[in-house]
Amino acid sequence: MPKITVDGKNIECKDRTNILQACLDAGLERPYYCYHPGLSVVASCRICLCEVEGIPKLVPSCQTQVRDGMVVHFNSSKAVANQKQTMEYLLVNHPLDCPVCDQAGECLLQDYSYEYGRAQSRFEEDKAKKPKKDVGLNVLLYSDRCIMCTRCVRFTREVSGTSELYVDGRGHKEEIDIFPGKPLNNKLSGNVVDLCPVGALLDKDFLFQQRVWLLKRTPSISPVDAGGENIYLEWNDGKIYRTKPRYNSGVNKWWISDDTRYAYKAVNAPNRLRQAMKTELGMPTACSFNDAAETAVAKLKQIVVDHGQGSLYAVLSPMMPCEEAHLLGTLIRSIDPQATLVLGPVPRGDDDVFMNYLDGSETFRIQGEKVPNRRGVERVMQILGGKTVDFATFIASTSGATKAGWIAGGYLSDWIGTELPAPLKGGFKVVQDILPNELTRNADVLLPGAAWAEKAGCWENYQGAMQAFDAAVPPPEGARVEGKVFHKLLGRSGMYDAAAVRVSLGEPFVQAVLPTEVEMAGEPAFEFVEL
Amino acid sequence: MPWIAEDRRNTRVAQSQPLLTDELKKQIADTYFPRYPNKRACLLPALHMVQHEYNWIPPAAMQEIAEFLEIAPAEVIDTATFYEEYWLKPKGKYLIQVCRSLSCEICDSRKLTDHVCKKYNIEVGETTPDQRFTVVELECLGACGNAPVALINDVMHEDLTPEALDAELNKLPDDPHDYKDPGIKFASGH
Amino acid sequence: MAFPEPVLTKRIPLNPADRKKVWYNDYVATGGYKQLRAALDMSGQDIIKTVTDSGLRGRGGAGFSAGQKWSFIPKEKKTTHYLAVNADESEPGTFKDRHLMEWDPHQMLEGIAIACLATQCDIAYVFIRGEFHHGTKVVEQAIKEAYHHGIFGNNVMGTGKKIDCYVHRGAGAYICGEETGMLEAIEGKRGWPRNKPPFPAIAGVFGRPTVINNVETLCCVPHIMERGPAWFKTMGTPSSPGPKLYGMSGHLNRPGVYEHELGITLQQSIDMAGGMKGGAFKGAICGGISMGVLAQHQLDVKLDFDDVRFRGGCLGLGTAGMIVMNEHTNMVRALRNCVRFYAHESCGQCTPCREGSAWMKKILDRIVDGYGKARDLEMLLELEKTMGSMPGTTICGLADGTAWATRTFINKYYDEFAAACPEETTKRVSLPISRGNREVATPMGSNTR
Repeated sequence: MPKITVDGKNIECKDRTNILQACLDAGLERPYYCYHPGLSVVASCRICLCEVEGIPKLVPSCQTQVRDGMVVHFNSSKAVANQKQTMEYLLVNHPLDCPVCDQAGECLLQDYSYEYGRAQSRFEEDKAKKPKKDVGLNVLLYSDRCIMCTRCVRFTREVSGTSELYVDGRGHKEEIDIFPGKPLNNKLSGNVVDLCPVGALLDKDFLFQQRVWLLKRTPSISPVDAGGENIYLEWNDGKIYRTKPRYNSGVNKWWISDDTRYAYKAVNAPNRLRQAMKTELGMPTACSFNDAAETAVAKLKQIVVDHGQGSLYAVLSPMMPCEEAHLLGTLIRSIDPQATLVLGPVPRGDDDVFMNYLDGSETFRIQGEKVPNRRGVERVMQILGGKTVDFATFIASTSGATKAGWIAGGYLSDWIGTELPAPLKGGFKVVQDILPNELTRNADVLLPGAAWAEKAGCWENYQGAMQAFDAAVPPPEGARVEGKVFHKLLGRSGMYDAAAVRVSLGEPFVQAVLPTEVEMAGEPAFEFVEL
Repeated sequence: MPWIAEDRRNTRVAQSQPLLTDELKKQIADTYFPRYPNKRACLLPALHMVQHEYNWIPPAAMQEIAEFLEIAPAEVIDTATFYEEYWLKPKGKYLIQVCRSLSCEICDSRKLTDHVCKKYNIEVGETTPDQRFTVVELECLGACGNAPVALINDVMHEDLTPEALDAELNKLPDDPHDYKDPGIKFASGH
Repeated sequence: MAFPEPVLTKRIPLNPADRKKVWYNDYVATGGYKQLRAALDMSGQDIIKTVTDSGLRGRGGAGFSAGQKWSFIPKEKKTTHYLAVNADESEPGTFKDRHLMEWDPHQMLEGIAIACLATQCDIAYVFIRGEFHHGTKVVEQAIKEAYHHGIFGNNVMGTGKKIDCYVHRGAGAYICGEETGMLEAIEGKRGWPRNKPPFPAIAGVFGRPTVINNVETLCCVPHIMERGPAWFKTMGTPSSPGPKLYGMSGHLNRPGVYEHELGITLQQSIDMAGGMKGGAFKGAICGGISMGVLAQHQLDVKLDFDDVRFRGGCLGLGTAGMIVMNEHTNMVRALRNCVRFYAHESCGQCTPCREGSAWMKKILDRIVDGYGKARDLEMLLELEKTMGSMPGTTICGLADGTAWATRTFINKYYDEFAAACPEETTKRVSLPISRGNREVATPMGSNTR
């Protein structure tokens, strides 16, 4: 472990790391644009230059390896002069259109101007004007704001391996561009927007939607596949505006897929279920949520009395957090100890594998299993024991033993199709879901549920990592978090608390913990200041 | 979105018949593949070859080169736009390149450019309407001892005056393929 | 110190009318390829020692010891080694390599073959700039001849050794003359210089150990092998031995390439080229425009790798491409030309060079157009100190050229520049710029003008 001194502070760093990374690891913020720990080092922005004692000229801190006993200065007169000058250079042709720029508030040009730059430019000539370009399905490029850090180009080469972006021209006429007609449409394309330290690459989805300083963020997990990508949901006034990746070295590193990025749209969908329903006199009738829930339990109890034990089933969706799956299982078994537990459908596709364009090594994999918690729900079903089947077996059965059931959905798109499978056609059904589908239309009792962004819980990803997520926004009016409903129906006291349920479940569920405030604050280069 | 100046996404690359013909491919494969450890390194020679064949490098050709060398099209255009000598838009049959660097400038190279521009009634960087001449100024041609100098296609003309350049231009044959460097005579050899 | 007869140009007569291309037969008839024959019987280390002893310094601009450079290549050969010959001569004022390649290509090829033997290189790439159409054809033909006569190929002069030599054409980018930029260009990429380390001697082209030498440097090698390091040192100065090609251009009676020993004075070099034309001497670019300018009072500066720097106040001798300017030359326009060149040729990787050179060009354009202001000069002198590999703010040395040209031109012809940039009558609110001799911190250290 080499020890170095940075601006008078002694820090200990990893072997073979560079000065800049050592500083960042130790919580010392130093300016940089082109450096990114997940990409190759080009040392071209030149703002991270520092003075190392014993070396006569400035050295790029991102490219210089640490040596034990190194004495580094970022605040020497030479280094400061370079920071000031580099800032001035970067702003020479920058349009300074912060009032209309989406990046304003989390822009490294703004941050470093404030911290390291000059208050005023001495540039009196005409600024170079560069065009705006539509480069991809989700991405817009404002060339004139670009500072040519080439992070995005390196990303498409080294991580997505698709190599769509390139640098056009040379010198001060350089621009980022795509080959005509070969757009940036890969499934990781949104990451270039996160990588862009300025407002050059913009997400069309977030364009002009919200000022970033109004956004608050909540740690969450990707709901779209078994990868369990770590994310932040960013929201304001109870509405989610965008998703940003959350660094996790063991899972998704710095990146997320576009499916994850835009999954929040299902949460904001206008057709979310908001009204509890029950069937009265053969007609679906709106009623209060409590009324519907109590009706459901009473009716199920009646069916067990009428048909005997083993006539109930519960569909535990792999979209459910482990806590809720456990509670629903417990609930149904408290009514009917012989009840069948069914694992909800698990749609599968092929894995999307991304390889480094330069050396062919695997960089990222989008899981083909398109639900987040199959493993977790299976684990819960194992704990609960008794009769458990998967969805395919369940719908194929013709015994007709099951007379009634509780079906939890929560999928982000239609999951049941236009024709209900036979075992779900007849009988009494309690359906808990977030979006309307054939099943909710045929439900005997309909309980509007909460999407993943609206509740806390934990999911187990394909690697067996148990990961917690928190509620970012409240469910729409009329819908309720499933966990709370089960908690109440089970007659438990106090408030429903996912973390407490995890503790009662023990290992491995207790491994799922939310990041602390400190961990979150240390992660990105920008923090939100309450004004 | 009206404020977007360029829709790069839906730009279509016109493509009729293959530009990188089998003959060209064979030439590249035979001459250049053995010289380098990977195909990527053949990019500069391949671009030179296409430019030689078509007088410029159409986007469709870049796409075909990318396919042939097994790299992404963006990698090809990335390299091609870096180098000035590759023309990514059509140019005239004769490219008149006047050196504007210091040695030539102090020896009045500006007069050469002015003369050519006036003669063909075009600006620097433009092509005559008949697609015959394109005139550009470029940085040092490496013949400072004989300043001012100009390149007409592949042929260097040294110690020029506007009159001498005028005479050269008037002598140019109709077909640029007939215009050869008079200085090259291979005395010995095969 | 004496220079009795031409060395590198011994087969190229001074009078252009007498020149004839030296093809293989002519070259062999005048003693060519004998040194390669001798080198085949020597060990690589012996060749390197001979070249190191001669004190040969690279002729490409930096003046680094050629023998030492070779000695950095791993002795134990584990993989393919490459030799990259830098014939991307594109700095204004420099045209010596073209002279050597177009008239006597086999001299270079012999140097290449010997260098390959010394450093165990398997493949040599001659990187010729794209604009040298004629030179490319000549070198290609010479290589063809050399293959035919067993100089290159699988059986070098019947010894079973294997050396390949290919021409790689550039395509019009000055930055490819920078050694790592050239390596990228050989790999078929944009010529963005690489960060060092790793140095090319360890991981160069295609990630393999690579030697990079200038054409003139390689041309010196056969002569050193022939006549020994001691003879080589009889020419030039103790720190800069050997013959040197001087590319004389500008306002001269007989401009062209002249060979002389290193360390002649500027006045001698002008006399060599027939003296001034059209007026008295005003200034001379001393080795390609990146090196800066020598003024009227510096005619006695010795043209070697050190005196130009220490007494001449320039970056160095560079390539010894002299652009001599007479008294009627407008120095503001001359500087604008230099800075325009660097703004145009900047590769665009590092911020200071990309933005700074374009900014400086815009200022100079304005001054040339007659709208100069007094503070423009101070601005230029401040910007100039922020760029280059010497303060460490850029990856390669291209921006040093911008810096040194600006610095030497403005300081040495301050009155002329000041006349073009009059004091403003109305005051404008603007940030203070370093004026006069006030100490202002820059990445170069304090402002020391």
